[in-house]
Amino acid sequence: MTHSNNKIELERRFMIVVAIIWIMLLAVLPLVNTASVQIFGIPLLWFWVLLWVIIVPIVLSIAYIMLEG
Amino acid sequence: MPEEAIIATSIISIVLVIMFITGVLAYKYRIKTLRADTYMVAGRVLGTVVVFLNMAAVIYSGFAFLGAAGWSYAYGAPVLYIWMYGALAYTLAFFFAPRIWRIANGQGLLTQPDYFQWRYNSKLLMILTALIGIIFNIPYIQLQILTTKYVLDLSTYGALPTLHVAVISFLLVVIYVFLGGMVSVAITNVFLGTIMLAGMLGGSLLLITYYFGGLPGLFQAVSLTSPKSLYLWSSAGRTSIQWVITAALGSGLGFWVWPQLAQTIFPAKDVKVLRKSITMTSWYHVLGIIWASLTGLVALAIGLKLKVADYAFLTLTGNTFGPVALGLIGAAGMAAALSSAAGILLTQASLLSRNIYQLWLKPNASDREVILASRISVLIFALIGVILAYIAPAYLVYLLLIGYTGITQMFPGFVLGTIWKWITKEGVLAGLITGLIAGILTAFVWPDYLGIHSIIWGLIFNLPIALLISKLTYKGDNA
Repeated sequence: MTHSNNKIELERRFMIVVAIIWIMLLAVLPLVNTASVQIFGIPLLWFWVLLWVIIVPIVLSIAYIMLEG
Repeated sequence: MPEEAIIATSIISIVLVIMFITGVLAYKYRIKTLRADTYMVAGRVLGTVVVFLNMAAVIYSGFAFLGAAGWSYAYGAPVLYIWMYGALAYTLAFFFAPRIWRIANGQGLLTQPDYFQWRYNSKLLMILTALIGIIFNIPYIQLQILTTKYVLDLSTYGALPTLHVAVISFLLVVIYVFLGGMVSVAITNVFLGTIMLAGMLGGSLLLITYYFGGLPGLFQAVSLTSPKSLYLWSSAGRTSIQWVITAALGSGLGFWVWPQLAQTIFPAKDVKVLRKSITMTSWYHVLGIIWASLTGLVALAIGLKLKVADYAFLTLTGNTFGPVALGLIGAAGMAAALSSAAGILLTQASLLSRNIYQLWLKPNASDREVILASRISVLIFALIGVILAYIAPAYLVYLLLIGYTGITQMFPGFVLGTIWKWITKEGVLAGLITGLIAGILTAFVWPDYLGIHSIIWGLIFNLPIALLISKLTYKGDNA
């Protein structure tokens, strides 16, 4: 496999990770829409969104390092 | 003028002066030869720090700074749509923006409608997308002037005619955009983008820590004073789950379709710089707007009564930490508004001079003529923004959402067109017109029908038509 093919395959895998993030943020939202359950003192709805929103730059940083670094 | 007002206003004035001097000096010392590509995309030579902070400063406008806090104060959990759509948009850009950059670099494209002209070989589509970009951005300019006014309302304690002063501040921006184009805008935005982040992160962390010691304390207090703000409770409207999901999805898809955001992609010197900048801006999102939006909850939790929800961040800062802090956060708020205004003005001017004037009305126009047309356009759009700010002030987020619905209808042509070669101009055009009609109807006649955001209603009609007609009209590679 050439370097270019490796990069395309790696990019494809990161796209799958991103698709999972979109599903977790959008499709799963109705399931976590509650304030009665809390994690670390933060209502589940807010915790869930915060968690995935923080995961995004971490994933992009890893993707940048692996694809361009 | 009261002493507090003098202190806060002085800090804001210092930032304005530095901004103006930076913009003018960038024009004087960083531009050797002024060409159309220097004026519109800074000659495609910018490095990571400038591309990243220019991107962040243009993206995070007055709405982000004050409107997000106002939104959480007024509605509570629906503010999460703002957290989500930014995150979604950066993941999209990480993969999509390099494709656009490579095409723009290879083909010498300077604006987003240039891409439509090149990709679909259609002057009509280029003109239409240029007009959409211009028209839907008009309220956005007005929005930035009004944000500047809101900042001044609070920081001058009513001692100044704030709308007039806001317009003067905006005119300082107009001068350096007029002179230096993208070079002045991008270099000034390094300064403004830094101040914004410091204000959003520093101000909100201080407020949350001061009152509640951290996030658990904040949410505990909100659960006592306004428990419904912590989840999405209604069956329709902005506090419903379907509204938040569709607003986040629609705004995430439409994010990079805004021509001024597409314009921040082009000045990068290579793909590596572009991807690094997008990644860094996604960190900016987490460290900046998310924390700024939480200050609305702080205001809610301490029972602060506000006449205008968008005043939450600044009022809290002033009441809690006094005029110096108010001046610093106010300066950051103004930086957010004016940096976005600069990016929008330049983009509108570029669309008019490049796509309407040079590529349609006068195809043999020289570089010199195009730059002159751009500069005249800067003045025209600045004047329109100022007039509207005087005669039609309105709520921040409301204006943004109307624009979003219209702009996002270019998504199939701009984003999907880079991925699938079988997308055709007939498909894009039919989808665009249908999506615009559906979007406008569900924004004004049946607002967010069934609790679904009008952006998504537009796309529900736009996408199937764009894809179906593209399939029917695609004639293959040899066509």
